Amino acid sequence: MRYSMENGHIRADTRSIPVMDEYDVVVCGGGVAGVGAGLAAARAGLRTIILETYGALGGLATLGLVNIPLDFVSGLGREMIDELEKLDGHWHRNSDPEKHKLVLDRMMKKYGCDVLLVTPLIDTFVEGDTVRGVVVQTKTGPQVILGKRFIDASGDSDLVYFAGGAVECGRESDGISMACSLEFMLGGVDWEAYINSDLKQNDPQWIRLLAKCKEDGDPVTQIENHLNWMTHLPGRPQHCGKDEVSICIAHSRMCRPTDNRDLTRMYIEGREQADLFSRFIKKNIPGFEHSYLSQTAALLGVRESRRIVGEYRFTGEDIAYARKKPDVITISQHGFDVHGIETVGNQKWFRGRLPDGSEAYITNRGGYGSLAPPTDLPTVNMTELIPDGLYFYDIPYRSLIPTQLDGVLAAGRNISSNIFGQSGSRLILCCMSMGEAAGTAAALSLEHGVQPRALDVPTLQRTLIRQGLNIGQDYRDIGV
Amino acid sequence: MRSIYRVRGGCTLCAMCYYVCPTKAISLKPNVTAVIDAEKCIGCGQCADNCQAEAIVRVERKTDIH
Ligand SMILES: Cc1cc2nc3c(=O)[nH]c(=O)nc-3n(C[C@H](O)[C@H](O)[C@H](O)COP(=O)(O)OP(=O)(O)OC[C@H]3O[C@@H](n4cnc5c(N)ncnc54)[C@H](O)[C@@H]3O)c2cc1C
Ligand code: SF4
Ligand code: SF4
Repeated sequence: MRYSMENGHIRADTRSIPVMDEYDVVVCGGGVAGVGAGLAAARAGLRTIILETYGALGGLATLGLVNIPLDFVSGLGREMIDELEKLDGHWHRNSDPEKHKLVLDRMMKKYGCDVLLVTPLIDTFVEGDTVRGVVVQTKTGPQVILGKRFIDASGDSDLVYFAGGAVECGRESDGISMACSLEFMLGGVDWEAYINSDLKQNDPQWIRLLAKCKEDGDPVTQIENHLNWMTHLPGRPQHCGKDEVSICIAHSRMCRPTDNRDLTRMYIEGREQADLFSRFIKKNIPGFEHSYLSQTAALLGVRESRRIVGEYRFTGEDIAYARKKPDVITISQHGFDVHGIETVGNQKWFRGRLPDGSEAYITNRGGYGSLAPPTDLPTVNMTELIPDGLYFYDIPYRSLIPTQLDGVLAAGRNISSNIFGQSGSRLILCCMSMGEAAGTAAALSLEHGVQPRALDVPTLQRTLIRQGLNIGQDYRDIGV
Repeated sequence: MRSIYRVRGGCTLCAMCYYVCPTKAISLKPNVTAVIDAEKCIGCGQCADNCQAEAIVRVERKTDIH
């Protein structure tokens, strides 16, 4: 291509990009949300493709070593967990990232969903307000894939952003995101010794250990103050002193996860922290005497980044009050949990309004996190007010629909939300279910010849229930 | 003797056990832990299988003699 230089930009004189293929549904991102979307659309008989930057499916759940698929298990998520269990790749809600990649590859084959790995989406082709195609980077240069419906499951809203749709990122004041974590794995662990140790059983012991480390000037206490975030890899030899664990302790602060320089900073920082922590753990934690660092994650653990601005902005209040919505497409029961944006610790409260209009620090189940709220206002745990059996909240369909763009839905950790809403709804199986709902909605909207935002929601809900997705139908009357 | 299940340390109040228990034997005590009602527990083990914190253990319980 020929370029000319202009005020710090280069301008392409002529730019003609070949069309590679045309699909009914094009999914950007092969994380669990993209996988759910692609499988659901392919299952509905549509020609579907998933585009993924890295060399495997699963996103954070595999490449990010977040091997703990939490939230309700249903629909395609149920099938994924069952397949993992057949391979001895799932127990106690923990999964084996390697087996997980394999399971996802096989599910693609089973439902006939096409995948392009190592193929980042770099631009979009928009006519009016409707997305018509995407530009991908390939080994032979940029190519275009046309489509009828697009699902942005990139985690970072890349598709909607490139298409000029409205987005937001991080906290409201300055756009800084929640802490990011580069996960790492330790081998040579005696899990039995750890799980039965006083340290695992007794939180005050951790607090004492960390207080002592702080006195000794151990740098790990500058990084995180709660070390109990370990997951056990299933199917890797157990009870013989050779187990493996994946650990989520390293934290980068003041993150800008859509800035490549900052991403690079966080990978390098994460590896240094993994080195420090693996030595700290080996020295101090029972069962880890013979442990060693086996790998850091290929994909940085970005909890939260660019999110679409959609028809409904899902918030912390929705979680705190366990709100139910008429257009529910999946449910979650995980409380909000913002990992320290600026500082060590995690925050499970925010300043907000109670139903009577007065201000308070609103928390939810599971305490405050390690950052306590200030004392100038009362602290109210809203979950105490919620009747038994209704400890879950709804994700509304409107949060998947961008405000201006047509032909597009979002799914996963980049749906329309504020930082507190996002921090609860981002769990792996919830993201996968959002994907399943988005893929199903894409298919129904094509079948009925309407834009996704005009889709008849009860029809979508009935279809999701018939497909075995848990949208709360067992716990209350949804009315469809 | 029959087996029942009990919550020991490490509970994160994630509520998974609460949703999977077929006999509704589990309640959640905010800021504490999940609690299993020994009278309602039938020992099926689903709560322990679903607990990511491995916070639920099996205990042997003597049958009451009246
Ligand atoms: C450190 C950490 C700990 C967590 N702990 C838990 C936990 O304990 N339990 C739990 O259930 N959840 C946990 N989560 C949350 C959960 O892992 C994620 O929210 C969830 O996996 C997100 O899935 P997703 O598909 O929406 O996004 P992602 O997994 O981020 O997938 C997005 C995919 O899109 C690809 N992509 C991005 N841009 C492009 C592009 N332009 N073109 C092509 N492909 C692109 C990426 O490579 C990636 O594969 C944790 C997250 C983190 C970071
Ligand atoms: S063992 Fe079964 S019955 Fe008992 S508390 Fe657990 S899930 Fe409920
Ligand atoms: S599943 Fe485990 S961690 Fe979750 S509430 Fe029950 S006992 Fe606690």
